[in-house]
Amino acid sequence: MEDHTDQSQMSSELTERQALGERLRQAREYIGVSQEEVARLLQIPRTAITGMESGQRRVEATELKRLASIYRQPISYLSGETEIEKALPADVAHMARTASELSIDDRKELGRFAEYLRARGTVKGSV
Amino acid sequence: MNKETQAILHATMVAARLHKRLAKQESLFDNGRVNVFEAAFHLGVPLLFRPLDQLLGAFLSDPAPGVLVTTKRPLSVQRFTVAHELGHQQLGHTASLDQEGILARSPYWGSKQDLQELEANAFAAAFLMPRSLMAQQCKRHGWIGLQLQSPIPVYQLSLRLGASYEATCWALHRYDFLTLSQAKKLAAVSPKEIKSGLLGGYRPETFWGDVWLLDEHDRETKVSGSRSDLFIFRLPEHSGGGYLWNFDELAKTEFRVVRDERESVDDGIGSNSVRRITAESEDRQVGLLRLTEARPWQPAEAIHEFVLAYDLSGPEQPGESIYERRRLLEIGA
Repeated sequence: MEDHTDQSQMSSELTERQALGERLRQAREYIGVSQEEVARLLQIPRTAITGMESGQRRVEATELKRLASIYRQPISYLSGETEIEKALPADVAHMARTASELSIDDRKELGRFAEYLRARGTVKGSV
Repeated sequence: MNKETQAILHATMVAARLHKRLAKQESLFDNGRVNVFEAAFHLGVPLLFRPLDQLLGAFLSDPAPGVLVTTKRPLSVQRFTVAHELGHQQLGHTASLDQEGILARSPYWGSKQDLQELEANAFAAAFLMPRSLMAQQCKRHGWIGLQLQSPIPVYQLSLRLGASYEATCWALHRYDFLTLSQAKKLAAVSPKEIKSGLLGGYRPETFWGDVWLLDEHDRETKVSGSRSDLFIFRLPEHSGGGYLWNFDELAKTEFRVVRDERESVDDGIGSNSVRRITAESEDRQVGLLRLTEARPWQPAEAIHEFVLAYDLSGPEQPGESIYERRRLLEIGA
C-alpha cells in the first residue's frame, strides 16, 4: 500500500517536471537560443539542459531563477503557478478579423507574442 | 499645409530626434548604416522575429509595447519593417498589423492613405536613411552626379545602407540627388536585373542573395549582409611589375571563387589591369578577410592589402535579433 502511494507521488512529480521542462523548452526556443548557449550561460553541461527540458533532471531553484531572467519570463510562469492570458488584446483581435488574408498561423503567432509580452511585462525591471 | 505633409514632417522630426538621443550608443551608426535592431533594444522595445506568412510585422501597444517581424523576408525588408513598427511606437500610435502594402507605397505621394501608416513610413525612411549617412556613403565611394542616375551605384549604395533598392531610389529623390522622373526610372529597374548584370555569366542557384561590388573604397570597412550574398572584388592589379592579388585567403575563410577575370585598363603604360573575382560564401558567416597584392615569389612583401570585415548572418532567424542574442551570450544579461 505504502509502495503504491510512493509510486503515484513519484509519477506525479515526474509529470510536473515534464510540464516544467516543456515550458522551459518553449521559452528557450521562442527567443531563439540553443541548448548549448543556455548551458554555457549557466555553466553546466548541455546534457543537463536536455535533462531539464525532458523532465529527467530536477531544476534547481537558482537555475530556474537564472533561466527566467534569460528567457525574460517570470519564474511563476515557467513553474506553472501562474497562467498568462492567451487571448489577443481587443484592438489586435479586431484588426486581425478585418485584415485580409491573415492566416491562422499568423493569428496564432500574434496570440503567442501578446502572451510573451504579458509575461515579460510582469518581470521586474522590464518594460 | 495639408495634414499628410504635416504628418510626414512630424514623423521626420521624431526620427531625427531619436537619432540624437541614440547617438550616445556608439554602435548605432557603425559601418555607415543605422543599426535598427540595436535601436529597438536601447529603446527597451521587445523585438521578436517569427515566421509570419501574410504579415511583414506588427506593433502591439497593449499589454505592453512590442514589435513582431517576419523571418520570411530579406534583411532589408526586416530592417524597414522594424523601423516602421518602431515608428508606430515612437509616434504613440495604436496597435498595427502591417502587410505587404507598407512597402508598396512611397511615403511621399499618393494621398489616400491611413495617416498613421503614412507617418510610420515617413519615420522609417528618415530613421534608416538620414541625409548625412547617405551623403557620407556617396562621398566615401565617389558616387556623385551622373553615377547616381545609374542602377549599379544606387544598388551598391542601398546595400551599404541596409535598405531596399527601391527605397534608396526614393530617398535619393527626397534629398534632391535625383529628380522625381530620374528616381522613377531607376526604381523601375529590378534588383534581379542589376544582380544578373553584375555577375556576368555566373548564375547562382537563386537571386535572393545580394551582390556586393567591393573595391578600394571598401577597404577596412565592414559588410553586413545575408548568407546567400555574393562578393565581387574589383581591385587594380600592378601586373606589369609582377604584382598579383592573392585570393588563396578566400578559400581559407570558406569562400568559393566562382569567377576570376581581368579587365584591362588603358593607363598609358598598358601593363596594369583590374582583377575581378566573384566569390560565394560557403559557410562562414562572420569573419575578417585579408587579401594581399604581392609578387608570387615574394609573398611577404605585399604592396597593397585589402582588409574587409563581414557579417553574413542575415536575414534574422526566429527569436530575438542576432544582436540581442550575441549580447546575451557575451554579457549574460
